[in-house]
Amino acid sequence: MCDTPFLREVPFLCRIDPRFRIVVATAYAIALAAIQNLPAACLGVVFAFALLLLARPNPGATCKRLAIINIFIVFLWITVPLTMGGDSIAALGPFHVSRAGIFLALLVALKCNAIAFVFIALVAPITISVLAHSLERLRFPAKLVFLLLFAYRYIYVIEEEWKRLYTAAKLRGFRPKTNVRTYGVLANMLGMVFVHSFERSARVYEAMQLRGFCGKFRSIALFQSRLRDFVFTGAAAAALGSIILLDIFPGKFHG
Amino acid sequence: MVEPPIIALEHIFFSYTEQTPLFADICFAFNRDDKIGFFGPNGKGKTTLFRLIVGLIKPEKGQVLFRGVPVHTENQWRELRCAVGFVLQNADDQLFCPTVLDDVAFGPLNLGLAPDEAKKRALETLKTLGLEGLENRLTHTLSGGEKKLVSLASVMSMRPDALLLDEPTNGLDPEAKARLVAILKNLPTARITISHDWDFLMEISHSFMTINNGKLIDVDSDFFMRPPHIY
Amino acid sequence: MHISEGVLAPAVLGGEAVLAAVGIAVGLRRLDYSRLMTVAILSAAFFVGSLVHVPVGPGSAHLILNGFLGIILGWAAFPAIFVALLLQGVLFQFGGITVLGVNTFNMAFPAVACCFIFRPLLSRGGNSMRIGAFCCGALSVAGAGFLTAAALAVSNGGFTRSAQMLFLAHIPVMAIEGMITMFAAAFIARVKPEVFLFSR
Repeated sequence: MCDTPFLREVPFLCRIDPRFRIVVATAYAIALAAIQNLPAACLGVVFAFALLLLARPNPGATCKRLAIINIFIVFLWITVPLTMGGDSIAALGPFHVSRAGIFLALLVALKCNAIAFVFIALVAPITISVLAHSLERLRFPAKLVFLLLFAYRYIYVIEEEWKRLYTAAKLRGFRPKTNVRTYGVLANMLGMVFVHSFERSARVYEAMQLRGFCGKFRSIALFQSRLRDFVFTGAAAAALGSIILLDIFPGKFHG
Repeated sequence: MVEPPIIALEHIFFSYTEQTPLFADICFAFNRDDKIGFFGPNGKGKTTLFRLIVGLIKPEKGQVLFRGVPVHTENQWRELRCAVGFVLQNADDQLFCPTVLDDVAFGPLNLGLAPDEAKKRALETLKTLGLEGLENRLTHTLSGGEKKLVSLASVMSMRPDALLLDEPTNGLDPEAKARLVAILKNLPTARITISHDWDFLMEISHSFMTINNGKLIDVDSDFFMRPPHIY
Repeated sequence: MHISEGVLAPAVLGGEAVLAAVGIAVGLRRLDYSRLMTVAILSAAFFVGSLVHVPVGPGSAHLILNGFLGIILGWAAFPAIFVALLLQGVLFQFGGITVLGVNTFNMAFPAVACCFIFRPLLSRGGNSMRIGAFCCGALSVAGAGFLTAAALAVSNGGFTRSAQMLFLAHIPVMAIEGMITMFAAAFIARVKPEVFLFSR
């Protein structure tokens, strides 16, 4: 179920300090979310795709992720052009395909995928541990960082436990079907997982106390900004700036 | 002057339910050179004794002394826990940080070491236990044997004066067990080891004890040569 | 359902992000580190639970389980759901950065609201508890669906019909989530009722 297929050694982008990568990705996402014009969105996709190529992620995992993200976009493509009012450019049986609907669906598709490319290129390869420590350096609340680290740590343990329970049920002839009995069995297993997790949390907290934990959570992560981090951020800012300008003044760049 | 025992239990009474007292007037002293093997059937209180020693549960009567001084305040308990390392039965409960290095550095950080010193101490500890190369591994990807050794490292990095090991060979394959034995044989730290594995206990302990009827009983090593008829 | 990036209007993204931040702050405020560990591990359990396939007719659906988490954690469901969504976003790309606030609020608010609305029923035990748990499960999902649809519709008029369809798609899931929440809560009440004291 859970795996991290993006963690490969990539020469260039992985050597950029993760804090800078997170900030750039977030700024990009926020700016792109606000874009209203197609030319700017197209430019955004172009830059984002270039970044994705630089990152050289695992192609299979990338396509799978993009497929998942685009499920919602496909849903919008099917529904919006057929239900939105405005000028009609074609007729599909009783439905009219509206120009404004196509525009909206296209805009949203471009924006969504542009943000996804940037995310896959910059943030996805960061391990959760480094991500949490980077967020801490970026002044994220300490309690949230704590939650992130320890939730991540135990996802796999709990997943293993779920698999064991499920396998044990199947070995005794359980076959999930659409009926109340199935839901009851699954709910019991879920309840068991939650109870075990609850009990485990008490033991883990004791284990922390046994190693001297007294309320302040500290980390050994050391981050050092280098010139290349600032250069990268500068280039990203320039790209972002041009996208925003294109969004504000779309007419100026029409040939 | 005679050095006081690291840990002393005086007239400890404890029970989980009112009907069956687990410990009735236990007195126990644990010194710097002791390497005790602690055995006995499940459910008789071995882990409970460890939990009493480190203050995770408190006795109904009696007291715990750390280096001759009775322990009462939370600060004193914290000092005791930093000096007496408890390696839990279940490594997944102990390895709660995502990476090995984070986990082994957790104790030193709590002791007050600066981040880079804590990191150095963690790397040294991993090297001492023959675990170099594991520092950037995610803890959930480790094998059972590796988890057990890393959980030992995470306690050792605090440089404790004594160790409490709860069933350390549970779930270990023969190779991992042999590695653990080799490490423990070379470790001068005082320890009490709970185990059902008598060969293992014989190899790493000098004296032995068990629990019967709520009392701790010293046992000599000849016991292991006779058939185990008591249980 | 998780909304993807790039769909909602910035005002909606920002507004719900603020609401989510408030909810998270309230949720974290009463948590010391011992209880924080419980929230972290239950957040992980919630993460794993939401990957479980439940057969629905010819296909299957993923559980949402926000109602169930709300019963156990109360306000702490806000930070727990936030962290689970963040992990889902980084590990699987369900949702994303800018929609984190929206998705968190849409899932957590109905869960917390139901927990408090149905607390009298839940406290009574027996069949009242079962009914309360069913309602928490079903209505939390309905609430999440409603808020998601509303966020879409408010962002752009062109999404109105899509939003309505999205909400309707949640309705069959409501009954199943209600049942699962009811059975799971009953299980916990029998096996370890102290779990429910956590949110008090």
